[in-house]
Amino acid sequence: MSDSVLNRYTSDSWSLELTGESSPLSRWTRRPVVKDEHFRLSLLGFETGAAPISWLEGDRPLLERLYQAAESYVQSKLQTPSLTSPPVSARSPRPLALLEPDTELGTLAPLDAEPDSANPFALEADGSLCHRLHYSSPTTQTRTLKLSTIQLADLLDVLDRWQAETLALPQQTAAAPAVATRDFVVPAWGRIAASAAIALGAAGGGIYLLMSQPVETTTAQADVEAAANGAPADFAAGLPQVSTNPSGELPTGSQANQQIFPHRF
Amino acid sequence: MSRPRLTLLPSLQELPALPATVEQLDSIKAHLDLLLLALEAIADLGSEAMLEAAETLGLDTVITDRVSLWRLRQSSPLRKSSGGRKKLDVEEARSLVLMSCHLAQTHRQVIREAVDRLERLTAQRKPPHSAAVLGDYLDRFCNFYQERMVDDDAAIAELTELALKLLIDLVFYSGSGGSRRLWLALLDRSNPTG
Repeated sequence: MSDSVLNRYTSDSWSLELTGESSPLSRWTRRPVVKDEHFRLSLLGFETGAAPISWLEGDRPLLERLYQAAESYVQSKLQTPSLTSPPVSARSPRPLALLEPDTELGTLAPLDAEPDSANPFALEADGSLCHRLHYSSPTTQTRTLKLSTIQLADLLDVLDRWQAETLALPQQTAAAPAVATRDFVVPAWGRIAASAAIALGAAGGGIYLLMSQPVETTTAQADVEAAANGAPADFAAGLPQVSTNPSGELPTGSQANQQIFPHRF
Repeated sequence: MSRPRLTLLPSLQELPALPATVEQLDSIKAHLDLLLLALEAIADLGSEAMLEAAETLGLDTVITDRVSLWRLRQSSPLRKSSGGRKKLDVEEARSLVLMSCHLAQTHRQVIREAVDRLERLTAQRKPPHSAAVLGDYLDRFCNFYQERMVDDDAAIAELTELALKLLIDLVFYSGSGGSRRLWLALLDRSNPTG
């Protein structure tokens, strides 16, 4: 028997509400396992006092794609050594200028470039401190949300917390869209954990079914085993190779030596 | 008004053990030292605050005291007295990552206030020094940099850009996934093919 769950993650500028059904698998995992998860993402007017803007609603795969796009974009920005260096993302249409003015935060505007077809979300820099989040869906016109750096950081914060706290069961419907998770940094951990959860659940369920209905377990177990077998390969591929670390033993100082070290260094 | 926040204290094990060559570690050491320099400047921190953070995170076996912290930071190749005699292993680097992000989270409000003011001033085409929080930060950062780094005659404009870039980065490191994000950024930045 599944229970419906409601989770809410808020930051100064975003509210993320999620509803879904709690899976019985939760009892075997350290994080709640949720299925049929749906979300509502709202932009809060934390400074202007404006009413929250319900910006996007959808299912978990859509939210994971948003997370993927935001995570990838921010990571590329963090890799750049300076404000004037272009981000790694090829989606930046023009060079960044130091302290280039930005205006009209949080407004929707038409998109002037087609986003990546693999992900309905795309981000690009708008000056050195602002960003534009594009969303295109087959059913609605492409929308663009202009975000400040604080708003972008807050968006990632709520998404980070959501990813850290819940696991999702993969949707079993044939029409479920395939989510491109190979380049997903965090979902690599999520996949292995989810696969482990499935394997655990399947082990328990499999034992029960083997005792009662041995014929019907064949297909289900085969599916689970395929998922479980695939997980380690994906996980290993998602992590860089292990190499030997150059070790350097640091000499430890005596308490007496602390007197000569300044308060700031 | 601050709202209740979920505090996620990451452990060393949560940061993936990634490969690091000597060159990569040099880059990591330099960037971590600069990030701590920015934290010192924006939050007016001293070594005591860093040691307290290390203790809170259970890193006091790696960052044992002021001497060990001083040695870790002096391992940056940008330091005047670096001399190549101090090394930094991966565990120590990861400890500094966790400590930096913990401090960024602790001083999240002042970091956000500074970035918020920077955004407003930029939109108004005014210099960052127009806001006290930014002016103080930039002054402290430039002073610290010139006191401690080899390149002590760096142009103020370059140092200002570096300081503002580090400040913006700190916003992202002050969030829930900050330590993982910083670690990955360090590895990516230090990757010669990256």
